[in-house]
Amino acid sequence: MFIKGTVFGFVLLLVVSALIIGSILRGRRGVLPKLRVIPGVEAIPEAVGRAAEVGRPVLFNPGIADLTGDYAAQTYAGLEILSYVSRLCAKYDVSIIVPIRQASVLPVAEEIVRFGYLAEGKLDKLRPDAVRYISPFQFGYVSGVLGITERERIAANFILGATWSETPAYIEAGYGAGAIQIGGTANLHQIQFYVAGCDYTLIGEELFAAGAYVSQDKAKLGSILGQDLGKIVAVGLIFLGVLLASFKSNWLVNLMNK
Amino acid sequence: MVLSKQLGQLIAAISGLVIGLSGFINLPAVKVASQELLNWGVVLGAFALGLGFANMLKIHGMKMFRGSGSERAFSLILVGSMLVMVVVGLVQGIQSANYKFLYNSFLVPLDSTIFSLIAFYIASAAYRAFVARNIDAAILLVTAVIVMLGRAPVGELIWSGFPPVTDWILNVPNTAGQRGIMIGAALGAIALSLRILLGIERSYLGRG
Amino acid sequence: MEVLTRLQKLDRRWIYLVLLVLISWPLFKPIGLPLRVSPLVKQSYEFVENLPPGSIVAWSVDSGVAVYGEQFPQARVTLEHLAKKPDLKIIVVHFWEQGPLFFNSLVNILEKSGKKYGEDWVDLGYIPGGEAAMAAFADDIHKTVPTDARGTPLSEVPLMKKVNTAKDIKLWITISAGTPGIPEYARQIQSRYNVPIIAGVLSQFATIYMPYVNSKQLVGMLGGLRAAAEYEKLLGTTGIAGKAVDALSNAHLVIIAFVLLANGVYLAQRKKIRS
Repeated sequence: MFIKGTVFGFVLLLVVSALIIGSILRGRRGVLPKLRVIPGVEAIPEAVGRAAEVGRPVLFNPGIADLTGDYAAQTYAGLEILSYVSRLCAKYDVSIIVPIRQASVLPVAEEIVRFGYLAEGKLDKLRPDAVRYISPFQFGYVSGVLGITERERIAANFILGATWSETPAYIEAGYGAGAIQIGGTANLHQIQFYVAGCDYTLIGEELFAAGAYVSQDKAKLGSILGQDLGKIVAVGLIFLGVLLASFKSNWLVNLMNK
Repeated sequence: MVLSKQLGQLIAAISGLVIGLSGFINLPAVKVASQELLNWGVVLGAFALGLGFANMLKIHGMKMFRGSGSERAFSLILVGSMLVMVVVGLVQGIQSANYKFLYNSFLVPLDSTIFSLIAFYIASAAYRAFVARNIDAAILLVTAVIVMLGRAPVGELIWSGFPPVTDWILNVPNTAGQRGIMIGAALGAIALSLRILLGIERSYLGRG
Repeated sequence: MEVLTRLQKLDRRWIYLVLLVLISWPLFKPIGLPLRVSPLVKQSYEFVENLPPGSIVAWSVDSGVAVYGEQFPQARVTLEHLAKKPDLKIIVVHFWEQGPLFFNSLVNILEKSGKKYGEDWVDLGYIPGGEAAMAAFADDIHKTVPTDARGTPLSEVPLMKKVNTAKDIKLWITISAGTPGIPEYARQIQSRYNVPIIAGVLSQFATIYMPYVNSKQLVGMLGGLRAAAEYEKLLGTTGIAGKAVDALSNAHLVIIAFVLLANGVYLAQRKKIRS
């Protein structure tokens, strides 16, 4: 019944999912984990506030990945945070610009931003070109974003999602515009650019946890504990693997290949 | 309104479950259902492209008529080139000589040019960011210099030890760190996916 | 103090200008810096060299024109190597739509190699569908690709009579820039059919894919322009990579120089403030 080589992965997925669901249920009952401060997330209201002070817009870049595929989770994570940022922008009367590369993300982003403004009772303040489809080509999109950053002189630059080689371009353009920059991705090959160039960075899982963090929803916060429990399982497997490998045993490797 | 919200969540949950299971289970029904859902996704993506086209026409159309000098010009160029490619592609086909000429003469060099700007941006970012303000930044600086010298032929001329040290840095601490981040990111993605499948996360429906 | 402040707030365009000049100069007047061949490139080269006669090799460009500068040399040097081995049979196939653009610039390598189209090599063109297309191709090539890129039914192509699934392929060389890419190849081609894979990747992704090399899912890897230059050296050819690698050295030196300058300015300013 199982595809060859996936049994162990399936069982592990079930174990981790059970831990996360258990944590979500505990969270709903009010048993919440104590979360460490994620500076990048704490800085979001500061960034929007700064944009309000200088009267310049906020740019929110949800990355260039689609809503399907291996990188979709990062797009969803970015859109979660967009929901929060758009409400803040509506609250402080700041313009928001959301450039989009994947057409399927466009209606979702439009709905999120519209709802953010509606929730604050400021739908009339939403500019009609807030969410803009730029180009399906990676560097066509990049050149569009660079142009917007420069022309609109953005005050806050959020780059939260899956990005690839074009990351330094967004960051340098934001720096040139004098923007405060908050970036985050789970793409390992780009993290160094965010760390080097942004004022605040969300690394890897912090991007996924950020949406839960800002919502302060009990169930979502509970799921963050589940992630950490999953890490304990992973560390346990690593230790077991190192021990067995030291005694030249292939037991765990063979089990993982089932 | 309530029904459409719950319907959206139900569709997301069922689709996610079927496609997730298809990565592990070898049942024909699961495979077929998963492939069908993925095909629907491709079709939806194609329709979404039409939406993107309409969005661009709306925004740039507004700028062409109501924008200031340079905004008007840029929007005119954008809409004009977009319409030319669409008309040539539809009328003559994407295998036609004219379409290939436009693609190879405009799109390809422009794509490469924007990508090549990244090198310059990296240089200016390095000038700004690689300053040893504290111990962490100092470690970053020293490591970056060693790796840059190890990867370039000129580094070996300066000291033959740069390449092996670079290889060690990339293969040992760098790979270890990346694997750790990879595991954390994968767990984060599982947690987010579960939140979406269970209907706890609804921001993608636009309703937070 | 004013000099230090000016240096600290240096206009980025000076950095861009110096970089532009020092990168361009070796392209016109190569310096010819000595190049050490790394073990991984040597491993990739030797794998191809040691393929038994008559082996069928799949070669694909799963990349875009944006990264032409870094990956075209990899594509060229790997295809040149395959073309130089008279006993190897080559299937050209791509899973990125811009793959054929790369191949169109390189097709003369095969046409001038003495290999006969249809018997020694075949072009199957671009197959849309990403990972699903890769899986379908691996399972049944004839069902997935009814005709080659020139419109000939596969049943009429002599080479393809010996090839039905990925099991018949002895090596897959992919020049890869994203998705579908190495993880998809590892899942659909390597783990299911045990096909050895050599990947040409962007230098920034080389460390990401090292775990695949360590676990032997990749038997070789070319990381970036430098690896293409090393491969050219092993092959005994002179290509663009060999010239460009001097420009790469200059670029690295410029960045290091500016970084050291920035640190010098910072330390000098700190000293002045303290005193």
